[in-house]
Amino acid sequence: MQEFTADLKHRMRGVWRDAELVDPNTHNNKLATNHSWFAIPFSRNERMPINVPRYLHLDLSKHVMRNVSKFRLRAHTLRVEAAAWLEDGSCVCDQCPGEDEHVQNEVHALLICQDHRVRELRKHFSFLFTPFFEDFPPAVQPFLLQQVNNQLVHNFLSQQNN
Amino acid sequence: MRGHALADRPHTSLWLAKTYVIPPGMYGSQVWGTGFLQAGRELSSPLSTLHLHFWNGTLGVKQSTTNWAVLRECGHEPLQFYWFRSAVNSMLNTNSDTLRRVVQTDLNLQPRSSACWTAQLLSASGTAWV
Repeated sequence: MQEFTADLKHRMRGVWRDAELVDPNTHNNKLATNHSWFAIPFSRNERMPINVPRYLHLDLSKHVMRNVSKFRLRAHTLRVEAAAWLEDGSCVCDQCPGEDEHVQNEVHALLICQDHRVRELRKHFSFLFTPFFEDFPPAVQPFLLQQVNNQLVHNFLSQQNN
Repeated sequence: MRGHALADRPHTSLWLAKTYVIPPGMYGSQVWGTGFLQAGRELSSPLSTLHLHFWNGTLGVKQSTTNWAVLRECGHEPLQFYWFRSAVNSMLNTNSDTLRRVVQTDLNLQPRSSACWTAQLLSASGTAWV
C-alpha cells in the first residue's frame, strides 16, 4: 500500500515534471514560473508530505500575506499577467526608463527593473541582495543588467532572514 | 475561525482543513469517486472545485489562479489522491465477506461494462493489479 501511495504521488506530480522542462524566462507559463522560482522542492522520498512555504507560518498581517501569495502564484497585475486582458497585450515593462524592452515578470520587478521606486527599495533592503548578486552594488547600480539563472532566483526567494 | 482570528493564520487553516475537510470529502468515495480517478481528471469533480475554492480564499488569491500551484503552496494533494488510496485500500484490506463478494461480482461484470466501479478503477490505475 505504501508503494502504491508513492506511485500515486509520483503520477500526480507529472504536471510538475512537465513544468520543469519549461524555462520561465522564455515561456509565459505559470506552472513553470512557480516551480522554478517559488515553490518548495518536493522531498526525494515521495511518501513525505509537501512542505508549506515559510511565510505562511510567520506572523504577518493578512494584507501582506495575501500580497506575497499573489506574487508567488502569479495572481498579480505585472504586465506578464495583465497582458492577457490589456488592450495592447504587451508584456514589456512600462516602468523602465531605458530603450531596452524587458518582459515585466516577477524577476524583472525584483532585480532588473530600473524604475526609481524599486531602485530605492533595493537600496533600502540591500542586505537581501548582496549575498546573492556580487555585481549588484546597491548604492551605485541597484539593478541587474541581464537575466539570472533560475536556481539563483530560487535561492534568493527562499532565503530565511526573518 | 473569527473568535481566534484563524483567518490571519493560514497555516492553522491548512492543518484544520487536513483534519476536518479531507475526511468528509472522502465519505463513500470508494463508491462514487471511481469516476474521477483517471489521470487528467484530478481537479474535475465538484468537490475538488470546492476544495480549491477554500484554498484560494485562505491564500487570498483570485479564483482563476493556477490550481496545481495553489495546492502545492498549501502543501496538499488533490482530493483524487485520497479517493484513489481509499478505493484501493477498501478493496484490498476489507474484512467484510459481503463486500468481498460484491467486489468479485463487480470484477466479473467489468469486461462487459466500463461503467462499473472496478472497470473505472482499473482504467484509472492503468495496470491489472487486481
